[in-house]
Amino acid sequence: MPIKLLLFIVILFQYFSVYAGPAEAKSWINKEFKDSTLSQDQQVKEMNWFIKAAKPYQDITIRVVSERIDTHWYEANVLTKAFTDITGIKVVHEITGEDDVVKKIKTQMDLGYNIYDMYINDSDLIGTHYRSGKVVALDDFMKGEGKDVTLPTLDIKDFIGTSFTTGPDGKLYQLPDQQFANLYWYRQDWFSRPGLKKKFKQIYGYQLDVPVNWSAYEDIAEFFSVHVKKIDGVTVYGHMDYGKMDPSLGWRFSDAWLSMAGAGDKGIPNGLPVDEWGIRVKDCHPVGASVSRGGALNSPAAVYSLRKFSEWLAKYAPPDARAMNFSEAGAWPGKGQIAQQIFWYTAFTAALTDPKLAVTESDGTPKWRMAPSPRGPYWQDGMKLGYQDAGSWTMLSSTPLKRRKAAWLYAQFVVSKTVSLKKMMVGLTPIRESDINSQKMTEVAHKYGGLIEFYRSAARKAWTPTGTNVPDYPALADLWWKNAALAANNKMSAKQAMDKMAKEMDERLQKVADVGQARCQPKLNTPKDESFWLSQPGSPKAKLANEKPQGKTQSYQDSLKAWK
Amino acid sequence: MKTLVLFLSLIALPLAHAAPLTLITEELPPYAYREGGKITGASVDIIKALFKQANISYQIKMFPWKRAYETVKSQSACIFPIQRSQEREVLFNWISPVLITQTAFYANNSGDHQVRTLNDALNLKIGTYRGSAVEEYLTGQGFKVTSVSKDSVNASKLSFERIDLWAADTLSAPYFIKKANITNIKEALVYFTTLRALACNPAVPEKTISKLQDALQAIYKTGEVDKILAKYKK
Repeated sequence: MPIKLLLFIVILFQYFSVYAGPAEAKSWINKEFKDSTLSQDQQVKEMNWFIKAAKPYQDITIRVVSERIDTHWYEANVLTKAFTDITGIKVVHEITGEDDVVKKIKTQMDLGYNIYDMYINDSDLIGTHYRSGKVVALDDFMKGEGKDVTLPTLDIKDFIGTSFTTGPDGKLYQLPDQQFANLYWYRQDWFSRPGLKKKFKQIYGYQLDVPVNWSAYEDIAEFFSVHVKKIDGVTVYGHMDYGKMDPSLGWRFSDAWLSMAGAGDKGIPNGLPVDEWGIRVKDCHPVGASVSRGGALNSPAAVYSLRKFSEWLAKYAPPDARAMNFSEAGAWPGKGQIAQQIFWYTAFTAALTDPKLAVTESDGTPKWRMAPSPRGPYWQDGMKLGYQDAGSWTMLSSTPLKRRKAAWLYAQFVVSKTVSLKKMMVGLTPIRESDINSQKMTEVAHKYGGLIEFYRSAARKAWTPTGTNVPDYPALADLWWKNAALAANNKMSAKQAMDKMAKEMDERLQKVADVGQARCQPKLNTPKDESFWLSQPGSPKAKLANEKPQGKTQSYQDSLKAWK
Repeated sequence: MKTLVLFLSLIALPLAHAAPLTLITEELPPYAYREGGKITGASVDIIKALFKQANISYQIKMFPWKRAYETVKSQSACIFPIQRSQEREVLFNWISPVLITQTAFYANNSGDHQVRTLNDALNLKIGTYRGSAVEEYLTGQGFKVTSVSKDSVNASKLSFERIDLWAADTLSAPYFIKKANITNIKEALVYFTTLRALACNPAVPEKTISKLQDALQAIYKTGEVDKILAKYKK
């Protein structure tokens, strides 16, 4: 081959090798990331930054892990390819159950042995991470070791969930990757029927509409299960839930059931000094969960919440509900027999817009809506009301620096403004203010039964994950399902179950203290007579003389406006 | 004489209680197999290192899985390597992880299937080992698989392109490939990591469990676990 031709081919090859990144970036932006709050020029600029920053890490294959929801499948199957094509860094994004993610992250923290280069881990573990001394504070990383791999356009202020992932020291420990809330779900079409509205008003004396309090929820549940019984020839129920003695019963409670009833203290994102687990802290040290130590886990409000859970399950849910676990129960709202559900994750939104379902119109628009959850009689203004999940990027100090830096590039890529709006459209798990307020979201909001409206309202701030009071989530979480199940299945009363659980929780807190933590470990209070703590202001709250005040409802629009 | 007998029986008593701990595993080369009359393998070697570090005596037995599992549930014994699932959590006391294993897709060298992500394998013919956790993970995600009762058969099937991919453990697959003298198979994508433990019947003393957990941390820190696994990865 003539030398000149050979030289030309070599130069041409070099040209394309150097500029393969930007060409791939443009290709991906055009085919996949057309919807974005950034202009195409801004997207290209952002991607060029990634290409440059990625150069030292071409020889690495990073490995990350997350739980299995649609958003993470999109990341694992599509965004990994985009990232590799654009930056040259190879990445394997493993998918597993959240309980497995928690086991793996705990193993790596205990052993100091690198299993994954970063984790997408629920921010429910913020208290654990902050106290372990083994999780890299991202604030420190971004200013220090990771400065040269931190995206200038990351725009942390645009993230709606960073208050959940901040430690008591004010530092960001995790970066939210996806979020979903636990809300009230109901058949707005049934609630709008004049015949049903009239009948409800006749029996209960007020309007059938979105319940404001648990009294109204209970009345509505009774109304559909006992008085209505059938709609259009189909048996209907005023409540849906699950009660099987199974690990999935754990998050049914720890995802803020006690706070929904009003058991904890005021404070956003989490009650202080007593949170939704009923754990009291002094400064940052957990001092107990039992009422005798100033906690609220076996307080009258907590007992009330477990009692209502068991009662409604027995009286108003489908007969087999008690034997179902989370996944089995999850299929029910779509079947078209459930009028309302007090505990429903917005992660199911996409699934319930399938046009083939009985709960959607033929064009896929939902006959149902989601609305802010009703609150129990112990709840007060200033408290958190419900649960929000925030799967967040977590970096462990046991991962070698070079790998952490490469993984941080991937983490930032999948939450970058170039990618995040498309990701939100696929998985419906918003993390950025700019995406929530985008024109695109305004156009599609009507398809999603109130999801966008909820995330645009101030209400979203009162729905929060487990917070910093819980010092070691993996060590404590199983107590929820093991004890709640006993009451749900009539093996003991709600009071017996919560007393047992509070005692075990304090024992486990003491065990955590004995092993020791890097900071803020438990320091249990000396038990006092319960009457001492119950007569103090705040949580634990004394038993209310009337646990069923008058039922109150409001319109769907008002239910969102009510949060300021 | 009577005094001597009494004395001897008195000192024999505590010795009778220091019986070696029974550890049960399943034959699964190269993790556990018989060679020259001895039980050896990757997980066996790690267990040996673990118990040496903890200074606890043991004996290893090899049974078929079902028998191994039933035995450890009913006697003061331990089983390894076992996945620590929520369902099993309350049944045993755990020393974990004694093994961190990985699952990969293996492909034929001449095949043109590009498998960059799990999803790329969705419409391909995947060979798996019947009833295994590897198979369960894939079928749980909606993948169609062709099961066989002996994983080594998958190596031949892949070599002859009767399947597009073989989903297998990253230590077992190379072992089967080497044993069958196959040279046209390559690792395509390592897509999953699993933690496996040593699980002990609650009758095993708590002190033993914590000694073993401490010893486990030590052998990871010194890199001994990595050294053992590297031996078997060759």
